[in-house]
Amino acid sequence: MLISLAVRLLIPDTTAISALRSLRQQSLAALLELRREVCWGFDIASDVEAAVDRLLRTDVLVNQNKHRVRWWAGDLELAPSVNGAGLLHAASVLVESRDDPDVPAMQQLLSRRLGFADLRVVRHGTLWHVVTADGGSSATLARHAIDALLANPHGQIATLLGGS
Amino acid sequence: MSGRVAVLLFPGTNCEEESLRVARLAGLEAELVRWNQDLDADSFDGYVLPGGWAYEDRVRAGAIAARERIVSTIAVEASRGKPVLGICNGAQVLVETGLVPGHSGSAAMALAANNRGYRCAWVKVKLQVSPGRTAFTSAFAPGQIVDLPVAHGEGRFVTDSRTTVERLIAGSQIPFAYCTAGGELATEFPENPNGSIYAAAAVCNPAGNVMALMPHPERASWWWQHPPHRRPPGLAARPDRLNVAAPAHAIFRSMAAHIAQRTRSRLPC
Repeated sequence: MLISLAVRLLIPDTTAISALRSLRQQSLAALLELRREVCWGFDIASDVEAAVDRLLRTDVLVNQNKHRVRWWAGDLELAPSVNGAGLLHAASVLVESRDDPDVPAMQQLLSRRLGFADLRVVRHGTLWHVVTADGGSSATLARHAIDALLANPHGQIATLLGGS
Repeated sequence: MSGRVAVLLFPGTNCEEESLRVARLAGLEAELVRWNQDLDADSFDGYVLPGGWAYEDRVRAGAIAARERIVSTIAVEASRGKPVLGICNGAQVLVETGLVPGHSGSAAMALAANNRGYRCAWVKVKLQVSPGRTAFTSAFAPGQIVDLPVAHGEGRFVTDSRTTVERLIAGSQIPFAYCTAGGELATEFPENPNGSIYAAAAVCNPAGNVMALMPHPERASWWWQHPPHRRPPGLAARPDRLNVAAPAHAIFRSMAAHIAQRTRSRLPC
């Protein structure tokens, strides 16, 4: 069964702050906020909840002292919207690197070193949440943000996941 | 002095001192310029973007720095023919701007994550073009092989455009490629440390005045910077001879010669 994890920082995310500043300098003034989550996709053969619980306890993907994690059944594109968190005009962008070496590296770590024989790492990427001021079209702005900074199409794949 | 170059400093750059020193060794007047300074572009004849971790490689290596105002100014200067050399992180900045390969106004390539992870090692690179092809190669012999250190996690030149690949090959825009000890193109790790297409260690723009180079010539420009086993036989017994320029310094001598030639061509007869 496919499951996805998204991990965000509790402390200030300097990457998101730098990206927001850079995008605003590039005339994307309507951009109100940028949030970032690191996400992983897994194919788990056994009891999903138990496997996720074990994953979170490894302290590899998540450090409970500075991260918060959410997970859902299904592929990364099924990420629940963050609009429910009071972000009324948010679109999400999933950015994945082609031939991402972190995928086989994580697979090797989890299966050979940490005993996850029934788990396969299938995807890894960054989930950006583009929050706009009232009335702005978050999806349009997200497309601009992809072109301006968030993805280099020659090494990455960007997928727009929704928005107003 | 035969010219004046600016060595750029972004937050996170960490090879600026070495870059200044090797530029001066080539007879250039080299000055450090910070990313948030007003750049007096007319007073510089060329630019060096050194290695490091500009903005901590946030988003992607070189991505944030490439969008800084000072880089836009350097893009204008490059279009006027001034030489611009990006080393490692500086190369990543140049690729993110699209100045390299320079086929359009935006990025036409990426420096993706190495296929075998972060790599810090000495490699061999071979001059793949005629020495006069770029502003950074005239002091090399045709086909010359030099030892250079690499230290990067995102150094794999890639593109998803077949047209870009064809133009790179047809236009001789890969000045340096990773090679084996015998001089063959290195297609496999560890001779090819990152999996770059065509074993590319450097890519230049069509005019040859902008070059993105992943290995570090500023860390190999004197013989004392080379580990003993990579020095010529007999040099180990002559420590007095270690403080002379090593072959990799030819990149900076070439840049100095290019600047001198440009200066002469602008002087009234």
